[in-house]
Amino acid sequence: MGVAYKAVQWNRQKFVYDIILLTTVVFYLFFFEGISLHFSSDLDIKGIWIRAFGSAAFILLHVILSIGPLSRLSPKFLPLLYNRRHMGVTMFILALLHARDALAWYHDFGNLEPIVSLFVSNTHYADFIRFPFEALGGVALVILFLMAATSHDFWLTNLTAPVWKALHMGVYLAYGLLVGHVVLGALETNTHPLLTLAVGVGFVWIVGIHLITALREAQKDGAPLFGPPAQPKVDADGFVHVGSVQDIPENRAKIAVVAGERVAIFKYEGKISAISNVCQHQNGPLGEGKIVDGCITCPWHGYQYLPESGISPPPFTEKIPTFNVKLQGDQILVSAKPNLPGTPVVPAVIGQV
Amino acid sequence: MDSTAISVVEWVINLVRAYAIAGLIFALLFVTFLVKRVDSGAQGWAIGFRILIIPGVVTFWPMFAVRLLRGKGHPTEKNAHRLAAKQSAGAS
Repeated sequence: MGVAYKAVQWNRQKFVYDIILLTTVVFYLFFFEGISLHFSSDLDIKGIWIRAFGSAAFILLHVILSIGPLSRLSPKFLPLLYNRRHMGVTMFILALLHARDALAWYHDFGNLEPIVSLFVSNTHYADFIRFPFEALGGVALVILFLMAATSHDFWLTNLTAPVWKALHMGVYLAYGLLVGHVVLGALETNTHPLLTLAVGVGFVWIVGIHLITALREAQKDGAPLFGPPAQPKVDADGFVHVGSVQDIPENRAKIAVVAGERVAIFKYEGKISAISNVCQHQNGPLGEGKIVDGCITCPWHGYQYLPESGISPPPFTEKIPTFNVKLQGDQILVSAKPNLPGTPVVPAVIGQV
Repeated sequence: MDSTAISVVEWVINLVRAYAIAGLIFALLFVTFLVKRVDSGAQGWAIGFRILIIPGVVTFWPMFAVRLLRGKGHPTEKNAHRLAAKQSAGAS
């Protein structure tokens, strides 16, 4: 970063997304209450809101988990990715409200503290049907808290993007725990099987869309679905052949795996430059972005880099590794060894011998 | 109810509370006076930003305490290209 942190970098899109998000959540909560009272007017309102908060958080988690793979499959979903962190924080608040109300509703009447009662009132950890599903929800809530608490860009800088991403991959563990929390909770309280079925359909959707995306990404890299990608062939001069100039549309990039990671090879103004595909902000795929106002622009959050040096334009201070490039006819060759972040590289000029 | 389980759970919860109270005291000092020392992006007062990072600082306060004691700023990420670039720059 080269500019001062703010609580939220507001812009028109963020306002619109947040208004739609909050309106949808509020509408769902009151719709849930209305439907529940319509079918069972004797239900306690507190119990209804516990379920309303919990189900809203769980549905929102499915939306959040779908955005990543859908954005990989189609750029139409990228605007949702841009605002995913606000969805995540909203989901955590819904989950927290669910936990707070459930704790008060089920554990606030004995001589133990509610939080202690939660973990000791049911200790059938070796029993599948009677398993204490509340503990699964509690652990998931801790993971969701860690993610919400570190959602600001300050944390990307101070934890570094790879550590931040690894921490936020905990969402998949949280999802697994919540599937168990919902299914076992439903099994214990013997509610309608439709809930279990809906959770099953959601689970198949999330697993399916992730597998499809992983398969497509592996095909792009020419790699097996599991295991390391094949090593590119390096010539005697230490360069890797990555394809033809004709493969790349103007102001766009071709992506190839070099030096154990993806490289983005951009064509612009009759020139070719190559930089690491990994955006320093959130490790977004720079090669899937385009050149805007002379800068490579990340498709995820709009971070920009100069193609010749991998440096963000002032006042920003991000730097990413660059690669030496040369042309043999219309064939592009990229150095197998990256340069230090921010190293200026003379672009290869198309048509120049 | 199992009295041993109650004791263990109470002990763990008290430990977490002690960690969180220590973290909160550290976080209030950190966001008010110290955050600029580890991250130059924390310019001006930006009250909203400082409040927003408190829960995370309460959680990760030992990391910032160590960083401040060593007089270090935020780290730079390590990935395959950055490591390879550093290695080849060191070799040349």
